[in-house]
Amino acid sequence: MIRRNKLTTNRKQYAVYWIVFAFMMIYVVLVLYPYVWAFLSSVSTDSYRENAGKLLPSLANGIDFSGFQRFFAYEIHTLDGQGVEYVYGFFDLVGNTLFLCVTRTTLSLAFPIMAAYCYTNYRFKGRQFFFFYGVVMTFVPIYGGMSFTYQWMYELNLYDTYIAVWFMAIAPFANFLFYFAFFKGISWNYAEAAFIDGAGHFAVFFRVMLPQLAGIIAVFFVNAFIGAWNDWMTNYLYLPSKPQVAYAIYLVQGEATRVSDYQMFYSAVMIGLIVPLIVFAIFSKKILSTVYTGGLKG
Amino acid sequence: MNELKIEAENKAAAPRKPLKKRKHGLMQGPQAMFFVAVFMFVPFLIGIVWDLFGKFATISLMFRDQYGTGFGFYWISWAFRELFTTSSHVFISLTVAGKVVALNLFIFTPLQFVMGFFFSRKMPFERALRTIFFLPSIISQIVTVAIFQLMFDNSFGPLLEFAKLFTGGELPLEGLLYNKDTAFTMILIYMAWVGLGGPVIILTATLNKVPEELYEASRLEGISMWGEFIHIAVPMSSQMLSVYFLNNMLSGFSIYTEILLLTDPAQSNVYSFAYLITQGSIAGQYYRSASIGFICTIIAIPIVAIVRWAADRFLPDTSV
Repeated sequence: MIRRNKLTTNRKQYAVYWIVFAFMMIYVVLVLYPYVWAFLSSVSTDSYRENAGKLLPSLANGIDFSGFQRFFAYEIHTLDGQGVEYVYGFFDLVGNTLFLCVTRTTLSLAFPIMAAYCYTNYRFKGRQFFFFYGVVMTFVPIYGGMSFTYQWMYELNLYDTYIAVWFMAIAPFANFLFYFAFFKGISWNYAEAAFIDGAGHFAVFFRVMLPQLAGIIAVFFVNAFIGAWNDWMTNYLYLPSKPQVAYAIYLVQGEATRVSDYQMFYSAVMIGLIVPLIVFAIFSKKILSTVYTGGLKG
Repeated sequence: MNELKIEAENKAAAPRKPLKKRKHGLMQGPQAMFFVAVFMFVPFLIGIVWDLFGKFATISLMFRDQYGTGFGFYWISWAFRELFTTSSHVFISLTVAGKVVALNLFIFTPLQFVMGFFFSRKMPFERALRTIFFLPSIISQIVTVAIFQLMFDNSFGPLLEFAKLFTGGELPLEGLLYNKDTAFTMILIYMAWVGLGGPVIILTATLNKVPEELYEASRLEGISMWGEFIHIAVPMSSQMLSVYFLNNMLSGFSIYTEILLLTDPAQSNVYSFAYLITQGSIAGQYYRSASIGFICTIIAIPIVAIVRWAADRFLPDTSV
C-alpha cells in the first residue's frame, strides 16, 4: 500500500493548506453548534426567554429533563380517511416507526437484490430488455408523477394505508447496478457445487449466494433503515394517520410553538436525533466505507 | 501422407474457435422458471406498474382539456403562459431553480471538490472530520429544519445578532425566514449547512483512487499543488464530476422540504417546482401539477441528454 505523502513542503502552499483546514474547522463548528445548542436548550432549567440571545443556554441553575418527560407523555391524535381517531403515545410511535422501517427497508432491499441476482446468473427471454429498461428509465426524468400517485391512491383506496407505502418501497432498480456488480464478483462455482449436492434454486440463493454478500447487504440495510427512520414525508404525504417519530416531531412543533413549550420541542428533536446517531456510531466505519465504495465510479 | 501431415499440422496451428461461453444458470425445468418468475418478473411487473405506467399516466394527465375529461392542451398552455409571466409561481420556481443550480455549480461543487482534494492528500483529524462532515446526511430533515428555524427565531434565536451584521442591524418583523428579501438567502444558508459536507466524502473517495504515483511523478517534474489539482485531480475525476454536474443541474427542481417547512411561500414569495407539484397534487389539482411537471421535464431532458453527450464526447475516460 502506498503511503500518502504530505501535501506539500512549499511554504506558500503550506499556507493554502492551513487556510483550507481552518475553513473546514469553521464548517465543523457550524455543523456541531446547532445540535449542541439544541441539546443544552432541552435540558436547561432556564426558560427560552431567559436564554434568548445567548450563544449557549445556561446550565448554571441545574439540569432539567422535564421536557423529555412531557414528550414521552405527549399523545398524538390523528384521523384516518373514514374519520376514525387514533391516539399514539411515545411507545406507539416508536413501535410504528420500527414496524415501518423494517418492512420498508426489507422490501426496498429485497427486490433489487433478487432482480440483480437473476439478471446476473440466469439467461432468459427479455433479459436484455430488463437491463435496458432499468438503465434508460432511471435516466429519463419525468416530473409531476406525484399527481398520478395521488390520483391512483385515491381511486384504489390505498391512501393512508400501509399497502401503499410498501408498494412504493418496491423499486427493482434502486441500487440495482451495485447489486449486479456484487453478484458478478461471486463465482458461480459455489452454486454449481450446491446444485450437484441436490440444492434447489431457492436454497442456492438463500444458503449459498446471499450469505456471501451479508456484510454489504447489512450496510445497505443500515443506510436504508436510517433513511426510513428519518422519513417524515411519507407520513405527511401518504400515511398521515399512522405517524412515525419524525412525523411526530413535525406535529409536536406546531403544538409546542402554540403553547410556547420549546423545551419539549427541543427534547423531541433530541429524541429524533438519538437513534440515527446511535446506529451511525455503531456502523460509522462500515457506512463511510460503503459511501467510499459508492463514490468510486460515480 | 505428407499432405495429410501438413493438413494436420495446419489444423493444430490454426487458431481455435473460441469455446462458446457457457450460459450458466440452470434455466432448464419448471423449477428454474418458477424461480426467475418469482425473483425477477414479479418485482419487474410491480416496477412497471408503478414506474413505467406511472410515467405514461403522468404524461396523459398533462395533455387534458380544461375539465380533464378529454385530450387537450389546456393545462400545458396554461403552464407555458405561467412560465413567461414574471409574477407567476411557475416563473418564480424557475428563477429559484436557476439560482440553486448556479450556487451548486459555481460555489458548492468547487468548494466540495477542493475540500475533497485536500482530504485525499492528507489532513489532520481526517477520520473525525469525515464523520462530522457526514453527520447532517444521517439526521432527519425535520430535525435539521427545526433546529435551523430556532437558531433564527425572531424572539430568542441565538444567531440573530450574527444575522444583524448582514442586514445592517435591522431585522424584519415577520422574521428572516418569512421576509421576501431574506427568506431565499436563509434557505440557501440552510442548504449550505446541511448539504456541503456529505458530497465532500464521496468526492474524496473518488480522489483517493487517483494513483499516488501520478502525484509523485508530477512533484518530480516540479508541478505545484495548484498544478496537481488542475492537471491530475480534475481530469482523473472528470467522469465523476460530470455525474455531479448533472445532479446539480437537476437539483433546482427538487427543492421541497426547505420551502414547505422553513418558510411560508404565501408570505416570502419563494416557490419551487417540487413544491408546486406536490402541494397541487395534495390539493387534488392533478392536471395543473402534471402540466408544471411537463415544464420541468422539457427543461430536464435536454439537460440530461446534453450533459451525458458532452461527458461521453469530451471527457476522457479516466474515471478512477
